[in-house]
Amino acid sequence: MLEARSLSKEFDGHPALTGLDLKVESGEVFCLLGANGAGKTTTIHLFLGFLTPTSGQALVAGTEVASDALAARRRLAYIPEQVQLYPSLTGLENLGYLTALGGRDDLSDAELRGFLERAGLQTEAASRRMSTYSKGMRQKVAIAVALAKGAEALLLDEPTSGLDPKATNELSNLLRELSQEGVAVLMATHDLFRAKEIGHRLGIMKQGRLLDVLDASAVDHGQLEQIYLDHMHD
Amino acid sequence: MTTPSEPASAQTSPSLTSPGQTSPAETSPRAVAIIARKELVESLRDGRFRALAVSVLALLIAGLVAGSLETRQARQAIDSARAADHDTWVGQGPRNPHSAAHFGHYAFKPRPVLSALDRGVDAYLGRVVWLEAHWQDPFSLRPAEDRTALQRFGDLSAAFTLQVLAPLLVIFLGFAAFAGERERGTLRQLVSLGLEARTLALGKALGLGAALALVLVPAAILGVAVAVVTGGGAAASSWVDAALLVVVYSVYFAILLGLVLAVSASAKSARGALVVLLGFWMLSTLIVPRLVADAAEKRYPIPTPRAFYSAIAEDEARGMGDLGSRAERRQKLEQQVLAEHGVETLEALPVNFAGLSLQASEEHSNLVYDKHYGELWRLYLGQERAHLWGAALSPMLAVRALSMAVAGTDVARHRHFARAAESHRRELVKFLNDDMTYNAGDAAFGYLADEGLWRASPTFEYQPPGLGQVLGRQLPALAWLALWLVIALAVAVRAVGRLQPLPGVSS
Repeated sequence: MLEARSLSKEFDGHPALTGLDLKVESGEVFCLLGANGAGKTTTIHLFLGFLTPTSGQALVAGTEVASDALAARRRLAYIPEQVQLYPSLTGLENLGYLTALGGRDDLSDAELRGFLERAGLQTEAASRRMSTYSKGMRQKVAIAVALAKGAEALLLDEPTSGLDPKATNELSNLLRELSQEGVAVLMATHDLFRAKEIGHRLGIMKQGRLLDVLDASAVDHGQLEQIYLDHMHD
Repeated sequence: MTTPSEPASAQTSPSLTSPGQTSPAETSPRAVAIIARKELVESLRDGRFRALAVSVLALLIAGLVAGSLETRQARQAIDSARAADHDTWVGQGPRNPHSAAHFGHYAFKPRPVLSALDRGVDAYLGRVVWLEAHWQDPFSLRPAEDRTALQRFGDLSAAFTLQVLAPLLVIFLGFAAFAGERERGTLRQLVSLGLEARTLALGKALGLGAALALVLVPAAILGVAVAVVTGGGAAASSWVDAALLVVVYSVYFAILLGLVLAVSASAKSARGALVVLLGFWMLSTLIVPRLVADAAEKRYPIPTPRAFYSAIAEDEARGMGDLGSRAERRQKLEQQVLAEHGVETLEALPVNFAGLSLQASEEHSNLVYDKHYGELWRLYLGQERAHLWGAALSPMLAVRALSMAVAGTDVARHRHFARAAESHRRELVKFLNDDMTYNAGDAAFGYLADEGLWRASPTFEYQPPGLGQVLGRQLPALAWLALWLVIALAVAVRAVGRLQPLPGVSS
């Protein structure tokens, strides 16, 4: 579903991502681990077509993002670290607006509420304006957008950053559900524990390069942490 | 610890994709409507917009009501004064026709219905002219002369609000349209949905346009209603003129909206977009008009009244061209008339020579006035043309020219009326001189005409120029406006096409 072929990106001559080769299949959760500046967010932005690669290709379901970003984006859903929505609209209005623009303008309010519930948002919150929402609640609306849109792949950028443990656990469970339903998930995170818990494969990045790819089921938390730290200290 | 399940088969169709799903590209017009509706809702929920919109609406309504009341009062005053002037004219009693020509009467410039919207230069050029023998008098009743500098700031016409203040509403509505969304992070959410930038831009333009229309449409309806009521029922032509003004101002706001969206899409921050747009507003509505007015005045300096009338008096005394002085012209006329009638003395003429001499003097004066007023009008119209060159930097100047022209309060309309009034003056004076020439006999200035002559004298009914003629004169302003529209749309399309969803990042 998601594929990077020798994908590179430079900003003013400084490499942010170098020669990334990566495949994320449908139903797979791939977690990108690394410190700030490792190239995780750049990778996600290249798959979204927010950035143009310096060289190489990013493909979504076989479509090269750089040549047809719109077609690629229609298969994707994106959840950034800080989900920002329209503060003067309610949660339900935000969801209705974004899902309609994502191609689902046929959904009733009841159906939209169903997606919000599945994303874990309390029913009564749906009618409140976004300005009253916490970060976790905004993230749930963004997840509901992904659910309603019927995205084939999810791109998440530090989704657990700043979430309380309960919200983080709910997100983990939901991502697992989506994976089982065939959605490809590419998640950039600092959270080794959650990555090991959710991911099928774990990629360790440093200074724009993918240094290692691990089978999440083949390592335990302690091993993962050690491997990660070893790479960081190299 | 939970162990993740194995990846689902790649060939499994994701269950989240509903069979009835449509892509955003297929629903583009629908997406435009959805975006427009959301923009409108957001604007209406924004207290700052509501406050500004109410302020602009209040100013518009105040300007329209004040303008309509003033127009109504002016029309009533004109009707009343015209009736009194007519009564005075026909009731002047037995009088020598040339004395009656000096007695004279007034020509009142009609107040068009749409002058309630745009008072133009009416207050500066005068509204009434005294028609008398020998003299082409200047216009009087210039309200601007009686105003203090402070009062001019209080003269908020609806046209001023639309041309100068309403653009601020457009700026505050749209400066954050893209730049604000990019800063907040909502733009990347939108773009990630697979939405085309042009769909987003069109939706925003329509939504912001709808919010603007919520302010301007009620004002337009009210303005037309008030104008019709106070104008005693508008003629069909006034409806056409009003519709044209709606088109002109709609194009103006479309230009502003295009520029605002272009700047918002290109700016690195919402604050930056606001600064650029406020700078453009100051430049186009305050600075350029002032600079252009100064430049026009330098390029086409209007003579002082003293210099103007001194030059006329000089030409009168010296005579136009080779026509000679007043005494020489009289002598030539005497010889010519005596020869024509084959007599040797003025007393032997079958007509009254004084009447002929007065008319000849009148016709010489006409040449003098045509020369000097022709030059004066050339300067006024030169200034008007120079103002229009400022439209290269300020679309407001093109709109202002068109607004005044359609409302019938521009220099060209004033000149049209002034020429009609002058033509009437000459016709009336000739009528009276001819009566003296052919009916006075030897009595000359002792001859007295009665009410029958006053009633038979030509009356002045002013016919304003048709819309085609008005627009024909305004082709440069129309061209500037069209050019601005094309430029605004082009820069908006270009800026939106290069829209960056991430703040401070070049793709």
